[in-house]
Amino acid sequence: MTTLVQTLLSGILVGGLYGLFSSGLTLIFGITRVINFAHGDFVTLGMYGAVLLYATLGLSPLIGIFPVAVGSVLLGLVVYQVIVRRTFQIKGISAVDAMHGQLVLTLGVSILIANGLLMAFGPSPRSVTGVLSDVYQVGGIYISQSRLVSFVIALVAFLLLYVALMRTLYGKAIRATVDDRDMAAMVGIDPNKVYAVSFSIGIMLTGIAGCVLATYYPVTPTTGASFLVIAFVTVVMGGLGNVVGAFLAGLLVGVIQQMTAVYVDVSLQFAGLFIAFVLVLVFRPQGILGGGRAHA
Amino acid sequence: MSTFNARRAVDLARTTPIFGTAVLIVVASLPLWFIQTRFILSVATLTLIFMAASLGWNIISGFGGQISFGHSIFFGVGAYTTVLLQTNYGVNAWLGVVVGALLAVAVGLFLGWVTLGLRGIYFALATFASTLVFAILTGHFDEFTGGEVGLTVPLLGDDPANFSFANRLWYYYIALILAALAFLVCHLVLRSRLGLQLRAIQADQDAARACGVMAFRVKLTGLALSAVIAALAGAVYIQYVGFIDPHSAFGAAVATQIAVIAFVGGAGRLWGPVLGAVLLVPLQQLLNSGLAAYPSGFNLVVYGVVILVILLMDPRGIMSMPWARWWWRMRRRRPEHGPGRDLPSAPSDRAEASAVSGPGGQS
Repeated sequence: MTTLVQTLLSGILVGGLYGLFSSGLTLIFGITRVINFAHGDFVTLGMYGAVLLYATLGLSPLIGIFPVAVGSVLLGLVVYQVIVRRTFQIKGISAVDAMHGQLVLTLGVSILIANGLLMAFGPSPRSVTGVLSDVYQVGGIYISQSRLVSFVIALVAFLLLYVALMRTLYGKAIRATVDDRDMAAMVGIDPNKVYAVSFSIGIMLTGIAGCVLATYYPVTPTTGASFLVIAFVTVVMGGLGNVVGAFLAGLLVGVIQQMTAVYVDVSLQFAGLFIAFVLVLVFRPQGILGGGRAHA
Repeated sequence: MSTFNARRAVDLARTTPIFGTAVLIVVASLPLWFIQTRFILSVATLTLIFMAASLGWNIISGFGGQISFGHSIFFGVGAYTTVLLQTNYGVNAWLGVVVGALLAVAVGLFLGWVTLGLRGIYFALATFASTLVFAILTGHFDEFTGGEVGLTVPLLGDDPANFSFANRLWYYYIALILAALAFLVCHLVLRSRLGLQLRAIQADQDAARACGVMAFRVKLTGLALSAVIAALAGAVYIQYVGFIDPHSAFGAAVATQIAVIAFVGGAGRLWGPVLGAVLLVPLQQLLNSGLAAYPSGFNLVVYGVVILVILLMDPRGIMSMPWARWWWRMRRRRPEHGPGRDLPSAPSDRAEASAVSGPGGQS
């Protein structure tokens, strides 16, 4: 029983971070329709950002969130303006071709980031050690401080995003574009601007998630590949473009992963997840949470 | 590539045999005048192997438009089957190659049965997740597969009956035959009913079904054909390199490599994977050895930049770039085309598509 509760809890705690970077991906996909194959590597970049800030300036990842967030926004803007936008600009390109182009281009970005990190930091795992290292014990269940704090940060960041989407004018413009981009354009919402903003906000959330994840998860340059698939699993489960769904599905994905790790085999934790993913794709491609229509 | 374009296929089909044979003769003669060192030989062999795998990918993903990021599954199944049969059961390596191809078809049919109902990006994601599952499972069940450590092909010396040659040139010619066969299959598919149906599905699946194309069955056939070629490439790869591990068989790097080669050359174009492989594989090998003095990762950074630059020039790949279109026009040499064919204001693909029903379309 204790094991079960312990597993559930650690699944939910790590799932909050999955939820955060997946809501970044779903924001990007729901609005720009760009499949960002470099998404996992943006998580890794956030993690290395935390490691770097801690190692050079002694900055705790909790404060490091802010520079990492700013850096992620800028990076997101650059990637959008230089790479993604290009695919919309070719004369006579069909929508499908543009999508495939984005796929391979973001894949190129992924190769670039992963190997740039390999060059800079080497292949061995790095992590931020000695920050938030307390462990609480409540009724036989252990909760590490870093996991708890990370989860709270993820929750706060997600709620901020939610409020921004629901209450601000930009948020409304973004939701309008998700619902019907042609209509949104007709009432004066510049799609290009909305794309750029949502792309960089998506990357920002991802960077923040990576930054706090670094407090307990060791990072290597190739960690990104598994985060990428986790993000896709989560996004599809939550329903593409559904931000709330993505966050909730993130928790579920965290639990599935931890359950497989504890009850089946640690080395199979991702396999269980990916198989669940294929099953969800086949049986409920519209997502397991909510109805068919995507909403922010 | 997405524009359904019967005219272009017909035109190319006419000149491809001559042009293809010429290329084949040149490539076959390379060892006589160009391949002087072991390194060049190895690069050329790997180029041909990946060219074959990518040509196979092109059938379902290029012609059929079902983008797969899981062809490494077939590549890996082909590779693992032959070496596992060889080491565990003492089966002849050539027979293992055939068994590997058949097994890949079985895997492809099952995978296709599960995932081919998915549209567009969902299929790509499902295949990508599947190949990672294969990688994890192969690493996990290590008593059978050798686990993360990988497997080594037994050293047999010069034993042609068992796919083992002392003279490395043999592998080059085997890879060449494989690539040529893959190209021939692609060429025939493109001309056949199957190719036409695949391309119709690629252009608009609903419209194709309305015209009586059994979309699911056609896609399944395409995937199976595609799997055979990728599996054969994997089998030749392992016999040539002599070593395989889960990452180099099923990993994300191989999965994307096969697709990226085709995308860079031009997915859905007959010559796309050929061009892509000739460009990217030697580039990668040269960077691997040439930049060995730099921190590891630099070679792939350069590789990534090259891919980005090419695709930023045209996201549809090299075959869609202006010079390639010029090259086509030269090869086609069809004077009966009306002057209205290449309207400067209209996108060229559309213009050619409309020419099918135009007065110049009676070919």
